[in-house]
Amino acid sequence: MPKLDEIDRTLETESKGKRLISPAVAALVPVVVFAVGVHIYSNELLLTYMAIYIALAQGINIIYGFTGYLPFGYFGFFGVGAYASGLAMLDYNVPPVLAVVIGGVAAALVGALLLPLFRLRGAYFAIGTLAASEAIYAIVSNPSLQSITNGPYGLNLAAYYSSGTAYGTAIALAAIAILAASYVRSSKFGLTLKAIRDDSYSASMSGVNVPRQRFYAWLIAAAIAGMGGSIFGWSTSVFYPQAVFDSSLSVLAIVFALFGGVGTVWGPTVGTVVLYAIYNAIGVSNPQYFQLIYGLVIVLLVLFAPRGLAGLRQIKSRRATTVGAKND
Amino acid sequence: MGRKMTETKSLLKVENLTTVFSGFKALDDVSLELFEGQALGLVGPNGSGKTTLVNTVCGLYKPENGRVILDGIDVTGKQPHYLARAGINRTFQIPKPFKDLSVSENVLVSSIHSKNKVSITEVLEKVKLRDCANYPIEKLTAAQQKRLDLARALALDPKVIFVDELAAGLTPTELNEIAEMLAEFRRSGIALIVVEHLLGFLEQVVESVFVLSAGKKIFGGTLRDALSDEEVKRVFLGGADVA
Ligand SMILES: Nc1ncnc2c1ncn2[C@@H]1O[C@H](COP(=O)(O)OP(=O)(O)OP(=O)(O)O)[C@@H](O)[C@H]1O
Ligand SMILES: [Mg+2]
Repeated sequence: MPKLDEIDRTLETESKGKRLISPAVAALVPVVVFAVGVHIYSNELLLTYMAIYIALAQGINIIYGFTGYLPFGYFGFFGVGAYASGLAMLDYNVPPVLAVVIGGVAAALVGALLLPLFRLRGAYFAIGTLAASEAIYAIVSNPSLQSITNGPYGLNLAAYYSSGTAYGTAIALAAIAILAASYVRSSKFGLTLKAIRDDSYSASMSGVNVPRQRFYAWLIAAAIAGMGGSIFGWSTSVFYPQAVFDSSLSVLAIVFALFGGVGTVWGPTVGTVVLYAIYNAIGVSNPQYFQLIYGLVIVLLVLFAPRGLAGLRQIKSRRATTVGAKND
Repeated sequence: MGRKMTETKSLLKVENLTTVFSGFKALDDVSLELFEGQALGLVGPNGSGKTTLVNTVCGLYKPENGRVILDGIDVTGKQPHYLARAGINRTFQIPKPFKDLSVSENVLVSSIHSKNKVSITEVLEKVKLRDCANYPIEKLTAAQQKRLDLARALALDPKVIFVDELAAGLTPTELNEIAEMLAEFRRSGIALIVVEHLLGFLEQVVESVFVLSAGKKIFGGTLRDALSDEEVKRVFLGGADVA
C-alpha cells in the first residue's frame, strides 16, 4: 500500500511550499514595479517591450534551462504569434486580448510541427530551429501570399491600438511566464526535465517518456513567445515581417536569460531588466555592435558561466553546505 | 493457468535475439529464460556481447531478430520508458545518477513515473542509503552510486533487474553487503541477470550461469559445471577474467 514515510512527506511538502509562496513573490514584484514604474519612467512602449522580453527570457529559461536545448530560432514563435493574432484582429475582428491567446495557441501548434527538430542535438538543434524560423519568415513575407499575410508589407493594427491595455497585457504575460518557470522549477514535471537534462537514457530507464516531457516544455515556451509576439505587434501597431521574425530577438532573450541565470526563477527577470536597460541606454544607436557584443556574451556565458549571475550566488551557498556537511 | 502452485513463474523469455551493429553481429541468436526470484549470471570475455544483451532487452537497441517476452507479454522493440514501467530495469556498468538532483530526488523521478507507487523511504532503506537521502550525488562513494542505481530501479517495482558489473572496484565488505541486498531482492520475487567478471562474487549471488562468446551462447548451467566445461575454459584461456 502506498504509505507516505518521512522522506516522501518531506519531498511532498518541500515542493508544495516552494510551489505557493516564492512563485507568487517572483511574479508579483515585477507586476508592482511595472505598474508603478510607468508613472516614473513614462516611455510605456519601452516598458512594454521590457515586459515582453522578461516573458521571452523565461521561455528560454524553460526550454534551455530545464531541457538543455538552446533554440536560436525562438523568434519564429514570436513572429507566428504576431501574425496569427494580428490576422485574427484584422480578418475576424477578434478582441486584442483574445487575439493574444490565439497567437500563443498558433505558436504552440507550430511548435508541435517542429517537434522532429528534437532529433538533433546541441548546436545542430540550435541551428535547426534557426533554419525553421527563417523558413516560416520566408513563407509569411512571400509576396505571393499577399492576399493572406500582406506579404512583405506587414500588418497595420492601428485600429486596435490601446496603450494601457497592451501594457497591462504585457505585464500579465511576464507574470504568467514567471509563474510557468517557477512551476517548472518546483514541480515533479520540472524534476523530470532536470533528470532528462542530466542523462536522457537514464531518465527513460526511470520510466520517463523523454520525448513527451520535452514536448510539453517546448509547447509552453512556444506559447509564451507567441503571446509575446502578439502583444509586440499589437502595441507597436504597425510592423513589417522582418521586425517580428528577427533573429536578434532570440539573441537578446538568450543573453538576458543566460546572464541572469537559467534554471532559476529570478535570473531571467533580473537579467532582462539590467541588460535591456543598458541596451536601450547605449545600444539602440549602434545596434549592429550590440548584436555582436551580445553574441559574444552568449558564447562566453555558455562556456564559462553557464549559471549566470545566479551561479555566483549558488557557488557561495554550495561552499557553505559542503563545509557544513563535513561536520556531520 | 493450469500451472501447479509449486512451479515458479516465467518472468522473462528472450528468444533468438540478434543485434547487429553495421553488419557486425554483437549478439547472435541468443535465447534464455528467467523465473521469478531466479538469479542468472551472465559471463563472457570482454566484447562478448554482455552489455549489448542488456541494452537490447532494455530497449536501447532494436534487435535485428528475435523476441523479448516479459511476464507473458511480447515487449520486443518497445521504448526504454515503457519497459521500465512494465518491470524491466537495470543498473549501469558506470553508474548514471542524475547529478544535479539529491539522492532522494533521484529515486523520486522513478517513483513519479512508476505504475505502482513505492515508498521512497523503504527503497532507500533496502539499499542502505536512508541516511544519505539529502546528499548531493558527488558526496556518494562509487559503491553508494551503484546502490542508488539499484534504488532507482526498485522504485519502479521491477520484475527483472539487469545488474551490469556491480562488483568492479568494491571492497570485500561492500561486496558482501551488495550480495546480501541482491539476495533480499530475490526473496521478494525479483529476478536478476548479473553481468559479472568476478567469479567469487558471482558464486555468492547466482546458482546458474549463461556464457557468451562472440555474441553466441556457448554454455548454460551451474557455475561449477561452467568452470569445468572445455569450451568455456578455452574461451577464457589466458584471460585474466577467471582468475
Ligand atoms: N553501440 C555500439 N556500436 C557498435 N558496436 C558496438 C556497440 N556496442 C557494442 N559494440 C560492439 O559489440 C561487441 C560487444 O560489446 P559489449 O559491450 O556488449 O561487450 P561486453 O561483453 O559487455 O564487454 P565488457 O566485458 O568489456 O563489458 C564489441 O565488439 C563492441 O565493440
Ligand atoms: Mg559490458
